[in-house]
Amino acid sequence: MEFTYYPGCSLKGSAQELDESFRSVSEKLGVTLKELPDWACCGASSAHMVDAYLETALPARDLITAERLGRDVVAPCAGCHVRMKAASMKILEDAELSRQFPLRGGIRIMSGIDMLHDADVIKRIRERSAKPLAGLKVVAYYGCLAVRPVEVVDPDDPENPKQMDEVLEAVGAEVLNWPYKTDCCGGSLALTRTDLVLKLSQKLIDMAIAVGADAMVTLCPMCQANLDTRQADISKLSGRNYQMPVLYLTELIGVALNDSQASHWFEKHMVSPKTMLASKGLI
Amino acid sequence: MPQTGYATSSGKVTAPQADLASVINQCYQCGKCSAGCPVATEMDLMPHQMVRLAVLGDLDRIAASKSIWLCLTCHTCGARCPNGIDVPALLDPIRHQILRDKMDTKGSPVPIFHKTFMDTIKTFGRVYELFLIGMYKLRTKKYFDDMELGMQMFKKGKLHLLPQKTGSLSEVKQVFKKSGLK
Ligand code: SF4
Ligand code: SF4
Repeated sequence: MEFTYYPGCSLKGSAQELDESFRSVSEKLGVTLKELPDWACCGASSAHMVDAYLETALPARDLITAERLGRDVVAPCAGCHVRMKAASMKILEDAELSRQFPLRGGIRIMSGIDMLHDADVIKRIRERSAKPLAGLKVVAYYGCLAVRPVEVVDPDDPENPKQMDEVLEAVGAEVLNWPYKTDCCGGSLALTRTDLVLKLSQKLIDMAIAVGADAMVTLCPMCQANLDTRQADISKLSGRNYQMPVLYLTELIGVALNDSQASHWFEKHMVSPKTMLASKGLI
Repeated sequence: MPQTGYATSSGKVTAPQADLASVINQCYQCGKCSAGCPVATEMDLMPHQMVRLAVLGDLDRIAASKSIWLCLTCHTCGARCPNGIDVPALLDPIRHQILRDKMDTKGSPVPIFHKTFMDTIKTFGRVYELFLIGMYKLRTKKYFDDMELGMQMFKKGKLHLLPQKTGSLSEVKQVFKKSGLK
């Protein structure tokens, strides 16, 4: 199994532990990732806000390269995945755009969960989990861009997606029911209206605590950054001490696969998951 | 849609294109969009009200609202609307026009952030956090927000001292030249 890998900017910056764990786990699962050469930013949450042409043209440049290489492309960042897939759909539907951007739609544009939930891959995850995560209670937090826009992402269920839950079950974690799987953390307002992000993120963390989660699990770099880095501020404002680890799905797969790199990923977190994982005998 | 236009509308804000208008016209004001919107309580115009105003042709009020820069583009409204109406699909073209025509953005930091983000991409091809955050702070004069968090991120190696550039930067610059964003 071989894919073109589009890391995107977040995975090179604030979401390095997603990049590292995604690559490492893929290798252990026999999936070869080849980084897209000379990629540029997909335009993230900004391009579509400011200009219709940029929203499509930025991902188009990378999509054309990916198509030339012929392999399906994996974009682990939920944001990049949506931007690339939306641009591709727009181009293929529009004769004028198709003339400007020669795409044939010959490759699949996959999210991280598309790859990890693939029947073969999930089977390997189950078989190769040397250290199943018994006793670890988690909530799967999909966020917005893993399921929306619905016509772009085409999720299994936009209100109650289950793919991440199923991968977590494959590594032996106990996946809890909770109502905020796809509620927004405030994402794109992280720097501009931090007050709102704190409010929305606190609501999510409070619910995770209320249902008894040891950790929240996501694949979205924006969600992870908001939830992990803002707990100090939320603690200050609320007078309570928030210590909810927010992990990438691939980090937990790494723990189950006994990946020796795992402790290095955890160093990157603001709320360290180490004490919690150690108390469960998992690291 | 607004074939006639709203009585008090200046007509400066371009009405939605025909295909989008035909979808928006199906709104029957059930309020589901506003019920699920994570920032509805902060808005001066709620999502269902913006859609109604668009149907009536009063786009000026949408363009002049706080809501247009509060919408997170989370697409919760679009996922739940029984008539397939996605509020950001209505708002994006209006946001583009506001920026292109340099209309009043009511002091919102949101458009400043997004423009700064795009300036970063135009310059480096990829996000360079220090440049993005530095420029944003300069432009909004919010110098001291998140200083502590920034230092911690830096210590964890999540903020790079030097930019990571796209090799064929000239291609990226070419893309920007063809855009409406100068
Ligand atoms: S959910 Fe759809 S139909 Fe209902 S008020 Fe909102 S836009 Fe109109
Ligand atoms: S996309 Fe905008 S209007 Fe729609 S629910 Fe999200 S924040 Fe509200």
